[in-house]
Amino acid sequence: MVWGGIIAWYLFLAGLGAGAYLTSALIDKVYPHAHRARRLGRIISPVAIIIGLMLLMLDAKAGFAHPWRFLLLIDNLQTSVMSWGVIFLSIFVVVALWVLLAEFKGWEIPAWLNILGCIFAVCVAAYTGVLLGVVVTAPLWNTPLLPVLFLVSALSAGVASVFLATSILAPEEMPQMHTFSMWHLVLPVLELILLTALLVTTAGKGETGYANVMRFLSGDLAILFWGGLVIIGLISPVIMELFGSRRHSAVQTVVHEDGSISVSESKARFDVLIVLANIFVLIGGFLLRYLVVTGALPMALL
Amino acid sequence: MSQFGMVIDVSKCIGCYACSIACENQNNLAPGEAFIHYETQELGEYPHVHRETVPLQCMHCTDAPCQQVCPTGATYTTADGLVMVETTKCIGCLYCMAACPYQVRVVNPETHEVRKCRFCHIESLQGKEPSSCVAACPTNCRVFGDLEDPESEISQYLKTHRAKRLKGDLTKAHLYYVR
Repeated sequence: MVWGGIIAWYLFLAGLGAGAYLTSALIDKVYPHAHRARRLGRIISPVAIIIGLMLLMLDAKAGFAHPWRFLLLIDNLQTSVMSWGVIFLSIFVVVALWVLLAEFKGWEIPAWLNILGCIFAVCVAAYTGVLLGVVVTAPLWNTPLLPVLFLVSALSAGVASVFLATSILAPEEMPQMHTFSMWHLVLPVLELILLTALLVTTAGKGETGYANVMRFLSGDLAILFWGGLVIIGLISPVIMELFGSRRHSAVQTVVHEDGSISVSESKARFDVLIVLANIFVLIGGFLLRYLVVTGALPMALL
Repeated sequence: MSQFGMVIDVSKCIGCYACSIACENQNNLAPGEAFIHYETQELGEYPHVHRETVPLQCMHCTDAPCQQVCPTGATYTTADGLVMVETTKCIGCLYCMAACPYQVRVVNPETHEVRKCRFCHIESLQGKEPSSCVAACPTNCRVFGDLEDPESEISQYLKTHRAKRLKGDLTKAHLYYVR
Protein backbone atom coordinates (compact mmCIF):
# COMPACT_ATOMS: atom_id res chain seq x y z
CA MET A 1 0.00 0.00 0.00
CA VAL A 2 0.99 3.64 -0.26
CA TRP A 3 2.37 4.38 3.20
CA GLY A 4 5.78 3.47 4.58
CA GLY A 5 7.73 3.32 7.82
CA ILE A 6 7.28 7.00 8.72
CA ILE A 7 3.51 6.61 8.96
CA ALA A 8 4.02 3.47 11.05
CA TRP A 9 6.21 5.50 13.43
CA TYR A 10 3.56 8.22 13.57
CA LEU A 11 0.73 5.81 14.36
CA PHE A 12 2.91 4.14 17.00
CA LEU A 13 3.93 7.42 18.68
CA ALA A 14 0.38 8.82 18.62
CA GLY A 15 -0.86 5.63 20.28
CA LEU A 16 2.04 5.62 22.75
CA GLY A 17 1.40 9.26 23.70
CA ALA A 18 -2.28 8.61 24.28
CA GLY A 19 -1.47 5.47 26.26
CA ALA A 20 1.13 7.28 28.39
CA TYR A 21 -1.46 9.94 29.27
CA LEU A 22 -3.97 7.31 30.37
CA THR A 23 -1.23 5.52 32.33
CA SER A 24 -0.23 8.62 34.26
CA ALA A 25 -3.90 9.42 34.96
CA LEU A 26 -4.31 5.93 36.38
CA ILE A 27 -1.09 6.16 38.41
CA ASP A 28 -2.35 9.46 39.82
CA LYS A 29 -5.54 7.75 41.05
CA VAL A 30 -4.19 4.40 42.22
CA TYR A 31 -0.63 5.18 43.35
CA PRO A 32 -0.74 8.82 44.49
CA HIS A 33 2.77 8.47 45.98
CA ALA A 34 4.39 7.55 42.67
CA HIS A 35 5.01 11.20 41.82
CA ARG A 36 7.90 10.71 39.50
CA ALA A 37 6.23 7.92 37.52
CA ARG A 38 3.18 10.12 37.01
CA ARG A 39 5.34 13.06 36.03
CA LEU A 40 7.32 10.93 33.55
CA GLY A 41 4.06 9.81 31.94
CA ARG A 42 2.93 13.39 31.60
CA ILE A 43 6.21 14.30 29.91
CA ILE A 44 6.26 11.30 27.57
CA SER A 45 2.69 11.85 26.39
CA PRO A 46 2.94 15.24 24.63
CA VAL A 47 6.54 14.66 23.56
CA ALA A 48 5.66 11.40 21.77
CA ILE A 49 2.61 12.92 20.09
CA ILE A 50 4.51 16.00 18.95
CA ILE A 51 7.37 13.94 17.50
CA GLY A 52 4.75 11.81 15.71
CA LEU A 53 3.02 14.87 14.28
CA MET A 54 6.33 16.27 13.07
CA LEU A 55 7.03 13.00 11.27
CA LEU A 56 3.56 13.20 9.74
CA MET A 57 4.18 16.69 8.39
CA LEU A 58 7.56 15.62 7.07
CA ASP A 59 5.91 12.72 5.22
CA ALA A 60 3.15 14.90 3.68
CA LYS A 61 5.68 16.46 1.34
CA ALA A 62 3.35 18.72 -0.63
CA GLY A 63 2.16 20.21 2.66
CA PHE A 64 5.70 20.44 4.00
CA ALA A 65 6.60 22.57 0.98
CA HIS A 66 3.46 24.72 1.46
CA PRO A 67 2.80 24.68 5.22
CA TRP A 68 -0.28 26.90 5.08
CA ARG A 69 -2.08 24.05 3.33
CA PHE A 70 -2.10 22.22 6.69
CA LEU A 71 -4.70 24.75 7.82
CA LEU A 72 -7.12 23.08 5.39
CA LEU A 73 -6.81 19.76 7.24
CA ILE A 74 -10.15 20.18 9.02
CA ASP A 75 -11.97 21.10 5.81
CA ASN A 76 -13.70 17.75 5.41
CA LEU A 77 -15.24 16.88 8.78
CA GLN A 78 -18.29 15.45 6.98
CA THR A 79 -16.54 12.38 5.67
CA SER A 80 -12.79 12.37 6.35
CA VAL A 81 -11.49 10.41 9.33
CA MET A 82 -8.22 12.30 8.98
CA SER A 83 -9.95 15.64 9.56
CA TRP A 84 -11.44 14.27 12.77
CA GLY A 85 -8.06 12.88 13.74
CA VAL A 86 -6.57 16.36 13.43
CA ILE A 87 -9.28 17.72 15.77
CA PHE A 88 -8.64 14.93 18.30
CA LEU A 89 -4.86 15.36 18.12
CA SER A 90 -5.02 19.15 18.42
CA ILE A 91 -7.26 19.11 21.49
CA PHE A 92 -5.29 16.26 23.04
CA VAL A 93 -1.91 17.96 22.56
CA VAL A 94 -3.22 21.16 24.16
CA VAL A 95 -4.65 19.28 27.16
CA ALA A 96 -1.50 17.15 27.56
CA LEU A 97 0.75 20.23 27.46
CA TRP A 98 -1.51 22.06 29.92
CA VAL A 99 -1.40 19.09 32.32
CA LEU A 100 2.38 18.93 31.94
CA LEU A 101 2.71 22.64 32.71
CA ALA A 102 0.45 22.25 35.74
CA GLU A 103 2.57 19.30 36.88
CA PHE A 104 5.73 21.41 36.88
CA LYS A 105 4.11 24.56 38.29
CA GLY A 106 2.41 22.52 41.01
CA TRP A 107 -1.05 23.73 39.98
CA GLU A 108 -4.13 21.74 40.87
CA ILE A 109 -5.40 19.94 37.75
CA PRO A 110 -9.19 20.22 37.60
CA ALA A 111 -10.98 16.87 37.34
CA TRP A 112 -12.84 17.88 34.17
CA LEU A 113 -9.57 18.62 32.42
CA ASN A 114 -8.16 15.24 33.33
CA ILE A 115 -11.34 13.50 32.17
CA LEU A 116 -11.27 15.51 28.93
CA GLY A 117 -7.66 14.43 28.42
CA CYS A 118 -8.55 10.77 29.01
CA ILE A 119 -11.49 10.94 26.57
CA PHE A 120 -9.37 12.50 23.84
CA ALA A 121 -6.52 10.07 24.55
CA VAL A 122 -8.92 7.22 23.79
CA CYS A 123 -10.13 9.08 20.68
CA VAL A 124 -6.56 9.56 19.42
CA ALA A 125 -5.58 5.94 20.04
CA ALA A 126 -8.71 4.54 18.39
CA TYR A 127 -8.57 7.04 15.51
CA THR A 128 -5.21 5.65 14.37
CA GLY A 129 -7.06 2.38 13.74
CA VAL A 130 -10.19 3.94 12.21
CA LEU A 131 -7.96 5.87 9.78
CA LEU A 132 -6.95 2.57 8.21
CA GLY A 133 -10.22 0.80 9.06
CA VAL A 134 -12.32 2.79 6.57
CA VAL A 135 -10.03 1.96 3.64
CA VAL A 136 -11.87 -0.57 1.48
CA THR A 137 -8.85 -1.13 -0.78
CA ALA A 138 -6.97 -3.25 1.78
CA PRO A 139 -8.88 -6.24 3.22
CA LEU A 140 -6.43 -6.33 6.16
CA TRP A 141 -7.37 -2.79 7.20
CA ASN A 142 -11.07 -2.72 6.45
CA THR A 143 -12.41 -4.05 9.74
CA PRO A 144 -13.67 -2.61 13.06
CA LEU A 145 -11.19 -4.94 14.78
CA LEU A 146 -8.31 -2.68 13.83
CA PRO A 147 -9.30 0.34 16.02
CA VAL A 148 -9.78 -2.03 18.98
CA LEU A 149 -6.42 -3.73 18.39
CA PHE A 150 -4.65 -0.36 18.00
CA LEU A 151 -6.33 0.98 21.15
CA VAL A 152 -5.18 -2.00 23.22
CA SER A 153 -1.70 -1.78 21.70
CA ALA A 154 -1.59 1.97 22.41
CA LEU A 155 -2.40 1.36 26.08
CA SER A 156 0.21 -1.38 26.21
CA ALA A 157 2.89 0.86 24.67
CA GLY A 158 1.86 3.74 26.94
CA VAL A 159 2.21 1.63 30.08
CA ALA A 160 5.53 0.24 28.83
CA SER A 161 6.96 3.68 28.07
CA VAL A 162 6.09 4.99 31.54
CA PHE A 163 7.38 1.83 33.25
CA LEU A 164 10.57 1.90 31.20
CA ALA A 165 11.27 5.53 32.08
CA THR A 166 10.37 4.95 35.73
CA SER A 167 12.48 1.80 36.09
CA ILE A 168 15.50 3.71 34.77
CA LEU A 169 15.00 7.19 36.26
CA ALA A 170 12.99 6.45 39.40
CA PRO A 171 13.45 2.74 40.21
CA GLU A 172 12.51 3.35 43.85
CA GLU A 173 8.91 3.88 42.74
CA MET A 174 8.59 0.61 40.83
CA PRO A 175 7.88 -1.75 43.78
CA GLN A 176 4.86 0.23 44.98
CA MET A 177 3.32 -0.07 41.50
CA HIS A 178 3.87 -3.81 41.19
CA THR A 179 0.14 -4.58 41.12
CA PHE A 180 -0.03 -2.37 38.05
CA SER A 181 2.24 -4.69 36.11
CA MET A 182 -0.64 -7.11 35.62
CA TRP A 183 -1.40 -4.89 32.64
CA HIS A 184 1.65 -6.42 31.06
CA LEU A 185 -0.09 -9.77 31.31
CA VAL A 186 -3.58 -8.73 30.33
CA LEU A 187 -2.84 -6.39 27.41
CA PRO A 188 -0.47 -8.61 25.37
CA VAL A 189 -2.81 -11.59 25.81
CA LEU A 190 -5.72 -9.40 24.65
CA GLU A 191 -3.59 -8.25 21.73
CA LEU A 192 -2.79 -11.83 20.77
CA ILE A 193 -6.49 -12.67 20.75
CA LEU A 194 -7.37 -9.59 18.66
CA LEU A 195 -4.47 -10.20 16.28
CA THR A 196 -5.61 -13.80 15.76
CA ALA A 197 -9.16 -12.58 15.10
CA LEU A 198 -7.84 -10.00 12.63
CA LEU A 199 -5.84 -12.60 10.71
CA VAL A 200 -8.61 -15.20 10.69
CA THR A 201 -11.25 -12.75 9.41
CA THR A 202 -8.83 -11.27 6.86
CA ALA A 203 -7.93 -14.72 5.54
CA GLY A 204 -11.62 -15.27 4.86
CA LYS A 205 -11.90 -12.16 2.70
CA GLY A 206 -11.07 -13.67 -0.67
CA GLU A 207 -7.82 -14.11 -2.51
CA THR A 208 -6.13 -10.87 -1.45
CA GLY A 209 -7.01 -11.30 2.22
CA TYR A 210 -5.68 -14.84 2.22
CA ALA A 211 -2.48 -13.82 0.43
CA ASN A 212 -2.00 -11.00 2.93
CA VAL A 213 -2.28 -13.31 5.94
CA MET A 214 0.10 -15.81 4.32
CA ARG A 215 2.55 -12.97 3.73
CA PHE A 216 2.75 -12.62 7.52
CA LEU A 217 2.63 -16.30 8.44
CA SER A 218 5.03 -17.71 5.86
CA GLY A 219 5.91 -15.01 3.32
CA ASP A 220 8.42 -12.19 3.11
CA LEU A 221 7.28 -10.67 6.43
CA ALA A 222 7.23 -13.95 8.40
CA ILE A 223 10.48 -13.27 10.30
CA LEU A 224 9.30 -9.84 11.45
CA PHE A 225 5.85 -11.21 12.26
CA TRP A 226 6.83 -14.33 14.21
CA GLY A 227 10.18 -13.31 15.61
CA GLY A 228 9.56 -9.61 16.11
CA LEU A 229 5.88 -9.14 16.83
CA VAL A 230 4.69 -12.46 18.25
CA ILE A 231 7.76 -13.73 20.16
CA ILE A 232 9.61 -10.55 21.18
CA GLY A 233 6.68 -8.15 21.26
CA LEU A 234 3.83 -10.17 22.71
CA ILE A 235 4.87 -13.51 24.25
CA SER A 236 8.21 -12.70 25.89
CA PRO A 237 6.89 -9.72 27.93
CA VAL A 238 4.20 -11.99 29.35
CA ILE A 239 6.78 -14.63 30.34
CA MET A 240 9.16 -12.02 31.78
CA GLU A 241 6.31 -10.43 33.71
CA LEU A 242 5.35 -13.79 35.20
CA PHE A 243 8.92 -14.25 36.44
CA GLY A 244 9.22 -10.64 37.51
CA SER A 245 5.98 -10.56 39.49
CA ARG A 246 7.05 -13.66 41.42
CA ARG A 247 10.13 -11.78 42.54
CA HIS A 248 8.13 -8.65 43.29
CA SER A 249 5.75 -10.48 45.58
CA ALA A 250 8.69 -11.00 47.93
CA VAL A 251 9.08 -7.26 48.22
CA GLN A 252 7.38 -5.44 51.06
CA THR A 253 6.38 -1.88 50.41
CA VAL A 254 5.39 0.34 53.30
CA VAL A 255 3.78 3.69 52.77
CA HIS A 256 4.15 5.81 55.91
CA GLU A 257 1.66 8.35 57.22
CA ASP A 258 3.71 11.27 55.96
CA GLY A 259 3.74 9.87 52.44
CA SER A 260 7.26 8.57 52.45
CA ILE A 261 7.88 5.06 51.27
CA SER A 262 10.22 2.40 52.48
CA VAL A 263 10.91 -0.78 50.65
CA SER A 264 12.23 -3.89 52.32
CA GLU A 265 15.07 -5.72 50.62
CA SER A 266 17.23 -4.12 48.03
CA LYS A 267 14.90 -4.82 45.11
CA ALA A 268 14.20 -1.16 44.54
CA ARG A 269 17.07 -0.98 42.14
CA PHE A 270 17.45 -0.89 38.42
CA ASP A 271 15.86 -4.13 37.28
CA VAL A 272 17.21 -5.43 33.94
CA LEU A 273 14.34 -7.85 33.48
CA ILE A 274 11.70 -5.13 33.80
CA VAL A 275 13.62 -2.75 31.55
CA LEU A 276 13.92 -5.46 28.89
CA ALA A 277 10.27 -6.49 29.16
CA ASN A 278 9.17 -2.91 28.59
CA ILE A 279 11.52 -2.41 25.66
CA PHE A 280 10.11 -5.61 24.14
CA VAL A 281 6.54 -4.33 24.55
CA LEU A 282 7.54 -1.13 22.74
CA ILE A 283 9.20 -3.09 19.93
CA GLY A 284 6.01 -5.14 19.61
CA GLY A 285 3.87 -2.00 19.51
CA PHE A 286 5.94 -0.51 16.71
CA LEU A 287 6.12 -3.74 14.72
CA LEU A 288 2.34 -4.15 14.90
CA ARG A 289 1.91 -0.73 13.23
CA TYR A 290 4.78 -1.35 10.82
CA LEU A 291 3.45 -4.72 9.65
CA VAL A 292 -0.14 -3.54 9.35
CA VAL A 293 0.77 -0.31 7.52
CA THR A 294 3.49 -1.52 5.17
CA GLY A 295 2.43 -5.17 4.87
CA ALA A 296 -1.13 -4.62 3.64
CA LEU A 297 -1.97 -5.80 0.14
CA PRO A 298 -4.44 -3.92 -2.10
CA MET A 299 -7.34 -5.89 -3.51
CA ALA A 300 -6.96 -7.60 -6.88
CA LEU A 301 -8.64 -5.69 -9.69
CA LEU A 302 -9.35 -8.40 -12.26
CA MET B 1 -27.05 18.36 -15.87
CA SER B 2 -24.54 16.20 -17.66
CA GLN B 3 -22.78 13.27 -16.05
CA PHE B 4 -19.72 12.39 -18.06
CA GLY B 5 -18.42 8.87 -18.34
CA MET B 6 -16.52 6.47 -20.54
CA VAL B 7 -16.84 2.98 -21.90
CA ILE B 8 -13.71 0.97 -22.65
CA ASP B 9 -14.39 -1.96 -24.94
CA VAL B 10 -11.69 -4.32 -23.74
CA SER B 11 -12.70 -6.89 -26.37
CA LYS B 12 -11.27 -4.49 -28.97
CA CYS B 13 -8.11 -3.55 -27.01
CA ILE B 14 -4.88 -4.76 -28.60
CA GLY B 15 -2.69 -3.63 -25.69
CA CYS B 16 -0.69 -1.09 -27.70
CA TYR B 17 -0.55 1.42 -24.80
CA ALA B 18 -1.15 4.35 -27.19
CA CYS B 19 -3.78 5.72 -24.76
CA SER B 20 -1.23 6.03 -21.96
CA ILE B 21 1.35 7.66 -24.25
CA ALA B 22 -1.23 10.17 -25.52
CA CYS B 23 -2.23 10.90 -21.93
CA GLU B 24 1.39 11.55 -20.94
CA ASN B 25 1.72 14.05 -23.79
CA GLN B 26 -1.62 15.72 -23.11
CA ASN B 27 -1.02 16.13 -19.38
CA ASN B 28 2.74 16.64 -19.52
CA LEU B 29 3.33 13.78 -17.11
CA ALA B 30 6.65 12.96 -15.51
CA PRO B 31 8.17 9.51 -16.05
CA GLY B 32 6.34 7.04 -13.85
CA GLU B 33 3.39 9.37 -13.35
CA ALA B 34 1.07 7.65 -15.85
CA PHE B 35 -2.65 8.28 -15.29
CA ILE B 36 -3.45 5.10 -17.23
CA HIS B 37 -1.98 1.78 -16.31
CA TYR B 38 -2.84 -1.77 -17.25
CA GLU B 39 -3.80 -5.04 -15.68
CA THR B 40 -3.46 -8.16 -17.78
CA GLN B 41 -4.71 -11.68 -17.35
CA GLU B 42 -4.83 -14.89 -19.34
CA LEU B 43 -8.27 -16.35 -19.91
CA GLY B 44 -9.71 -19.58 -21.27
CA GLU B 45 -8.32 -23.09 -21.45
CA TYR B 46 -5.76 -24.49 -23.79
CA PRO B 47 -5.93 -24.34 -26.78
CA HIS B 48 -8.63 -21.65 -26.66
CA VAL B 49 -6.79 -19.00 -24.67
CA HIS B 50 -6.44 -15.27 -24.96
CA ARG B 51 -4.77 -12.48 -23.09
CA GLU B 52 -6.90 -9.63 -21.83
CA THR B 53 -5.44 -6.14 -21.32
CA VAL B 54 -7.57 -3.89 -19.15
CA PRO B 55 -6.66 -0.18 -19.08
CA LEU B 56 -7.26 1.43 -15.69
CA GLN B 57 -7.67 5.11 -14.88
CA CYS B 58 -9.76 7.30 -12.60
CA MET B 59 -13.36 6.04 -12.72
CA HIS B 60 -14.85 9.38 -11.60
CA CYS B 61 -17.09 7.62 -9.05
CA THR B 62 -20.22 9.43 -7.91
CA ASP B 63 -19.46 8.16 -4.39
CA ALA B 64 -15.70 8.67 -4.75
CA PRO B 65 -13.85 7.12 -1.76
CA CYS B 66 -10.86 9.39 -2.50
CA GLN B 67 -13.02 12.47 -2.03
CA GLN B 68 -14.56 11.08 1.15
CA VAL B 69 -11.18 10.62 2.84
CA CYS B 70 -9.46 13.77 1.54
CA PRO B 71 -9.02 15.93 4.67
CA THR B 72 -8.32 19.24 2.92
CA GLY B 73 -11.07 19.20 0.32
CA ALA B 74 -8.48 19.11 -2.48
CA THR B 75 -10.50 16.37 -4.18
CA TYR B 76 -13.95 17.50 -5.30
CA THR B 77 -16.64 16.58 -7.81
CA THR B 78 -17.82 19.00 -10.47
CA ALA B 79 -21.47 19.44 -11.42
CA ASP B 80 -20.67 17.38 -14.54
CA GLY B 81 -19.69 14.39 -12.42
CA LEU B 82 -15.94 14.82 -12.86
CA VAL B 83 -13.79 14.03 -9.84
CA MET B 84 -10.98 16.60 -9.81
CA VAL B 85 -7.96 17.50 -7.66
CA GLU B 86 -7.27 21.10 -6.70
CA THR B 87 -3.53 20.53 -6.34
CA THR B 88 -2.95 23.84 -4.54
CA LYS B 89 -4.91 22.35 -1.61
CA CYS B 90 -3.13 18.97 -1.63
CA ILE B 91 -0.77 18.26 1.28
CA GLY B 92 0.38 14.92 -0.13
CA CYS B 93 -0.89 12.79 2.75
CA LEU B 94 -1.69 10.05 0.21
CA TYR B 95 -4.89 9.07 2.03
CA CYS B 96 -6.79 9.27 -1.30
CA MET B 97 -4.30 6.89 -2.91
CA ALA B 98 -4.89 4.39 -0.14
CA ALA B 99 -8.66 4.81 -0.36
CA CYS B 100 -8.98 4.49 -4.16
CA PRO B 101 -9.98 0.85 -4.71
CA TYR B 102 -8.74 1.04 -8.31
CA GLN B 103 -5.30 2.37 -7.26
CA VAL B 104 -5.22 4.89 -10.10
CA ARG B 105 -3.94 7.98 -8.30
CA VAL B 106 -0.30 8.96 -8.67
CA VAL B 107 2.12 11.30 -6.93
CA ASN B 108 3.86 13.94 -8.99
CA PRO B 109 7.56 13.32 -8.29
CA GLU B 110 8.37 17.03 -8.23
CA THR B 111 5.50 18.67 -6.35
CA HIS B 112 4.53 15.52 -4.36
CA GLU B 113 0.90 16.44 -5.03
CA VAL B 114 -1.49 13.69 -6.04
CA ARG B 115 -2.94 13.72 -9.54
CA LYS B 116 -5.00 11.48 -11.78
CA CYS B 117 -7.09 11.30 -14.95
CA ARG B 118 -9.23 14.42 -15.33
CA PHE B 119 -11.30 13.24 -18.33
CA CYS B 120 -9.47 15.77 -20.51
CA HIS B 121 -11.35 14.50 -23.56
CA ILE B 122 -14.15 16.77 -22.35
CA GLU B 123 -12.16 19.55 -24.07
CA SER B 124 -13.23 18.09 -27.42
CA LEU B 125 -16.74 19.31 -26.61
CA GLN B 126 -15.31 22.82 -26.35
CA GLY B 127 -13.90 22.63 -29.90
CA LYS B 128 -10.38 21.64 -28.89
CA GLU B 129 -8.54 18.58 -30.10
CA PRO B 130 -6.89 17.03 -27.06
CA SER B 131 -4.27 14.34 -27.46
CA SER B 132 -6.50 12.16 -25.33
CA CYS B 133 -6.77 8.43 -24.77
CA VAL B 134 -10.05 8.49 -26.68
CA ALA B 135 -8.53 10.22 -29.71
CA ALA B 136 -5.39 8.08 -29.72
CA CYS B 137 -6.97 4.63 -29.55
CA PRO B 138 -6.40 2.98 -32.96
CA THR B 139 -9.20 0.43 -32.49
CA ASN B 140 -11.73 2.89 -31.07
CA CYS B 141 -12.02 1.05 -27.77
CA ARG B 142 -13.06 4.17 -25.96
CA VAL B 143 -16.36 6.01 -26.04
CA PHE B 144 -16.69 9.22 -24.03
CA GLY B 145 -19.85 11.20 -23.41
CA ASP B 146 -22.80 12.18 -21.28
CA LEU B 147 -24.31 9.25 -19.38
CA GLU B 148 -27.48 11.25 -18.64
CA ASP B 149 -28.22 12.00 -22.30
CA PRO B 150 -30.05 8.95 -23.76
CA GLU B 151 -29.14 10.07 -27.29
CA SER B 152 -25.38 10.29 -26.66
CA GLU B 153 -23.01 7.80 -28.27
CA ILE B 154 -22.00 6.42 -24.88
CA SER B 155 -25.61 5.82 -23.79
CA GLN B 156 -26.30 4.02 -27.07
CA TYR B 157 -23.12 1.95 -26.65
CA LEU B 158 -24.10 0.98 -23.11
CA LYS B 159 -27.50 -0.13 -24.41
CA THR B 160 -26.17 -2.30 -27.21
CA HIS B 161 -23.17 -3.81 -25.44
CA ARG B 162 -22.84 -5.72 -22.21
CA ALA B 163 -20.88 -3.06 -20.39
CA LYS B 164 -20.20 -3.42 -16.67
CA ARG B 165 -18.33 -1.57 -14.00
CA LEU B 166 -14.96 -3.13 -13.18
CA LYS B 167 -15.85 -4.29 -9.66
CA GLY B 168 -19.64 -4.41 -9.69
CA ASP B 169 -21.22 -2.24 -7.04
CA LEU B 170 -17.98 -1.44 -5.23
CA THR B 171 -18.37 2.22 -6.23
CA LYS B 172 -20.69 4.13 -8.57
CA ALA B 173 -17.97 4.39 -11.20
CA HIS B 174 -18.49 6.44 -14.38
CA LEU B 175 -16.17 4.09 -16.26
CA TYR B 176 -17.66 0.99 -17.86
CA TYR B 177 -15.97 -1.99 -19.45
CA VAL B 178 -17.06 -4.33 -22.23
CA ARG B 179 -15.15 -7.57 -21.63
